[in-house]
Amino acid sequence: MKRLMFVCLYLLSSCASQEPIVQPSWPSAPSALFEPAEKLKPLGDDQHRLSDLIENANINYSQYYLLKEKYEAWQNWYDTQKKIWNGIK
Amino acid sequence: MFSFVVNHLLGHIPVWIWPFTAGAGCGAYIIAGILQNFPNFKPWMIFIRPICILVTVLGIFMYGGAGVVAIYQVQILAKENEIKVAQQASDDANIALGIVMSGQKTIVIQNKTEISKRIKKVQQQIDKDCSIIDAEAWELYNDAVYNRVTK
Repeated sequence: MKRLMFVCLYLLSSCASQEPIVQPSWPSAPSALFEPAEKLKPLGDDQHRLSDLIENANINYSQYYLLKEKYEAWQNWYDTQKKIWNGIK
Repeated sequence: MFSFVVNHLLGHIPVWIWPFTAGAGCGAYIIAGILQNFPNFKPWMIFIRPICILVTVLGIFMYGGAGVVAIYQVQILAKENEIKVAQQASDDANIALGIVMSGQKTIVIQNKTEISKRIKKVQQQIDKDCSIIDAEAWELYNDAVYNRVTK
């Protein structure tokens, strides 16, 4: 009878300790954020004029700004998703 | 093991079975007590009565377990609803971010195009004083362009 009581107690303790866990999955970021960064363009062999250099700088600056916006978008995305994630934990 | 028992075995048994089992065990115990008074049944009842007690205890225990499962199911449902709302908020945030990024990309590209047009307009004026840049300057510029980390 004592053994039976121990078995019952063990089963009861199992009921109390086994809580169901529902884990939300971490969301995926927009695909635009995964686009690889383009390399900066060097001056071509036939580009030796000052206007070529300025044009090249213009292209490279725009690359930088695109990457800057993407970098800030990653930060924005992470902050937003973290807030949502913390809200359900 | 516990989750397997709960999800695959106990989860499919209707809850009313357990109070019924407890009641049946209790009833059988009483009947066995009455039958114990008859000499023909007495030897059997010595074994049957403890079994009836076990069945009653099992019924009560499982009924309690079913109550716990019901509480967990309510909690799971609430959590799942919470996750659905969060998932929707996450998707909405992703869409909004995608729209913002697209707008920013358009602005940057428009600006680049605009500057290119302006350069073309004054190209002759720019190149008038410096038609060919110094070879050393050209090389330095290109060296600065390359990323030494990934090159």
